[in-house]
Amino acid sequence: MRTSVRNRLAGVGLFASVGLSASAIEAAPTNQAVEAALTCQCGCGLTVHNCNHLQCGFAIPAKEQIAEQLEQGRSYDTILASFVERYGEKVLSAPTKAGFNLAAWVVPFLAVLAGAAAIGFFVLRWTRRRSSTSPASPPHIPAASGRYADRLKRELDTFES
Amino acid sequence: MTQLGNLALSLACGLSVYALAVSLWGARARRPDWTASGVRAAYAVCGCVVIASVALLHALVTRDFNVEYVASYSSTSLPLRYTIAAFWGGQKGSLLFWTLIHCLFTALVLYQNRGRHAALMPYVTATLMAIAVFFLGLLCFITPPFERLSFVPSEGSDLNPLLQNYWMTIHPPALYLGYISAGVPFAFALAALATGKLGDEWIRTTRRWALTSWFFLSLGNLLGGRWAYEVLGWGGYWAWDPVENAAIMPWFTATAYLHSVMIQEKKDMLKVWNMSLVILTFVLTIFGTFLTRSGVISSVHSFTQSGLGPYFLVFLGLVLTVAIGLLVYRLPDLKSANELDSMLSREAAFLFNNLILVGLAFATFWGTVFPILSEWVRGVKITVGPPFFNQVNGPLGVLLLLLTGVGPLIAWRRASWSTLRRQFTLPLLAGALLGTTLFALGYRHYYAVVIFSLVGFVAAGVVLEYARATRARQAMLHESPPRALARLVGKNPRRYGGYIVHVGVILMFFGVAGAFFTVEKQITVAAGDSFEVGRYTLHYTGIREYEDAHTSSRIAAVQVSVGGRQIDTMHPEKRFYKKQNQPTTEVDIRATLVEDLYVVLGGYDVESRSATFQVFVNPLVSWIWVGGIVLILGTCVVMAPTPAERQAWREASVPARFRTGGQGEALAD
Repeated sequence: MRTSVRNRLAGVGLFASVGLSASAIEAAPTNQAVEAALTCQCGCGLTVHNCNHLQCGFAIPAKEQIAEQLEQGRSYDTILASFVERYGEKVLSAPTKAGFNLAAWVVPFLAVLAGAAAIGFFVLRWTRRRSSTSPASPPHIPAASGRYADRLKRELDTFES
Repeated sequence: MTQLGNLALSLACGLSVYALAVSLWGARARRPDWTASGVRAAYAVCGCVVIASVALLHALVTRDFNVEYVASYSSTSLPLRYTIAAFWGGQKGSLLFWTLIHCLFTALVLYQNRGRHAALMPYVTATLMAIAVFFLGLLCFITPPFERLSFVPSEGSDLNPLLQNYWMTIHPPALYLGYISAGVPFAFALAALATGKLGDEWIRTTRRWALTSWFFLSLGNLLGGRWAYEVLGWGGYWAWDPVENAAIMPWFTATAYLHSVMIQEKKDMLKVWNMSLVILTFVLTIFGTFLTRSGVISSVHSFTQSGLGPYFLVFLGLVLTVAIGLLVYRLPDLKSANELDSMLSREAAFLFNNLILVGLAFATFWGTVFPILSEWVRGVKITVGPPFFNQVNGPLGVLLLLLTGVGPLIAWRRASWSTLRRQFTLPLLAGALLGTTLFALGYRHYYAVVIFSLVGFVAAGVVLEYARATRARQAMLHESPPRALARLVGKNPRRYGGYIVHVGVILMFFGVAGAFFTVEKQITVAAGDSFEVGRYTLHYTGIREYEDAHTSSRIAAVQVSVGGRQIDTMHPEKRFYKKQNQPTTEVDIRATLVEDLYVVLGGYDVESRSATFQVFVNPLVSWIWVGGIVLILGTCVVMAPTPAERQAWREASVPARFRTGGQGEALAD
């Protein structure tokens, strides 16, 4: 039970970290943030912000449009929506966080959480089983002689390696 | 010479089929003469592929433009080093190069294990030859490298200018070595499954191969990052491009395997998991090759794109079917006899480390293929680019960094709270101190502060481990500190080499975290004007032209000053490759351990002599490369023989007549 609570907390942390950057952008959209959210359509495979083609037919006008729209006081989402309307969803450098696209964001974290829950479950089961099968008091073990003590030390060293 | 190459490839293809068939037949019918014949055929395959490779290199170096591949990927003015690199610069050549490395590795494996592992080796030979059959089949029937044109062009088309860079001469071979060597542990894993010899014999035999694969995957990714940093000119080194993702995915699973295999060696546990990781790593190397060559996902790196995708997909399906089939068949025999003692143990920490590493591989895979899924399900094309991977893989990477510090500090089997307190207090204090100091200094980027704190935590843990063990040796054996340290590493290279690798990893994280503080500026200036970026003042003095038979360039001169004192003159360049009619950006980087000043000549106007510059101040980037070097050194230490291995080799070199029977038998095993 404790494990699942921990897992849930870890999940909340992960999702919070995903959400934080978006909320920061909402607070104060910058040219760089908007440019980084759009993929250049010139074929370079980079974001509009990173495309450094000499006379890129997409990134250069896009940067100008973004600057203009920001000057007009438009929000981050509105600017992105204007590009999506014109070029389709592929212009966004990351999937939206709605509908089917939400799966892109959620599935990796769900997979890791499921894995963590599975590890937690098995480890707890193993350890409980071991503790229930172990004797109540440890058996008396005579003190090891010098030769055996040396051997024990050597083998423990090997085990530690 | 090319006819000889063709003949050699055909012969190699036939021989590989023969080697595969007789190895399997010999194993099933228990006929050592057949399996020996399979081994000899595998050696012959290797010889034939070497001859074919020499023939292609000869055609490239002698500019035999009648060969379609030579005409497509080289030219008379292409420097010799890039002419040689053209061997792996195109589709057909890179397939031959892959086959060459695979066959050389196969020969090496067969030679290393001659007279050993009698049950396993026929299946190992068969698996390695099955891989060779696939690649040789492609080379002989689908994409022949020695195909001739109906005419002799007077000039070749030249190599892609983006590949004409010294990092590119070593990055693909390094990555290929990593990909291909993953086939050796895979072959032994399949052999173990086929024979039912599921102990740790195959693991011990392939330990160095798994490390070699990991070493070259690390090196390949690192060199690829360096190439992107210098050549692509956008100020970064990793863009989560599908081909980059394809290279990093097997690295994640191979890293997971190198950790979890220790649990199998020590506790005889996780047999299914380790088998799965070995299979997954090999499958991901083939998947990466499929992504690079199929064109299903557009990538800036797909220099060898072609219609080979379906063939790779079929091969991938076959590999998965056979491997999963055998794994399921042997599941009852793979059950572990032992169990974990406690959640507070190094074993448990390693399990979580595995979870995060496999999670990273899955997240990368998911993001890479999601555009295809979206198109299938919704019929809508989407892009999954850097913002997605940074937000999904970023938190997982931070968790991995945390576990990198936790693992070595927890005892095997079961840790008590008192030992945990003793082990963790100093590293936690170091991490907290670093984070608090950064916060007090005004750093408010929470991600960066967390990463720096964790770097401090992991580094302190490693230092503590070294210090405690060195002090113990000094106290017990009265050794001097340097001697105690050297002996410590020499006695246990796996453990202490592993810590060096961890230091390399945290240095890389340190360098990556610097990206949060990047400063950049794009500006157009006239000759004689100055501008400021960060603490630097850049004075653009003018632009000059340079031309040779291969390229023509415009090279800007930019004087760099800090605090009124000139510290350097930088020369960013636009280069134009005549044969390919393609411009490239030649970045100038002034690298220090504190930060890189990265200057790109974005554009210029010849008449007005004005120029557009894109300038980045990238803090701490050099630590990524330093970390890479440390990681490589650490891997070399890990691969060094242990004292027990050295002793065994020494004794093995003693003639049999001087050995006692028991020892001789044990060593021969």
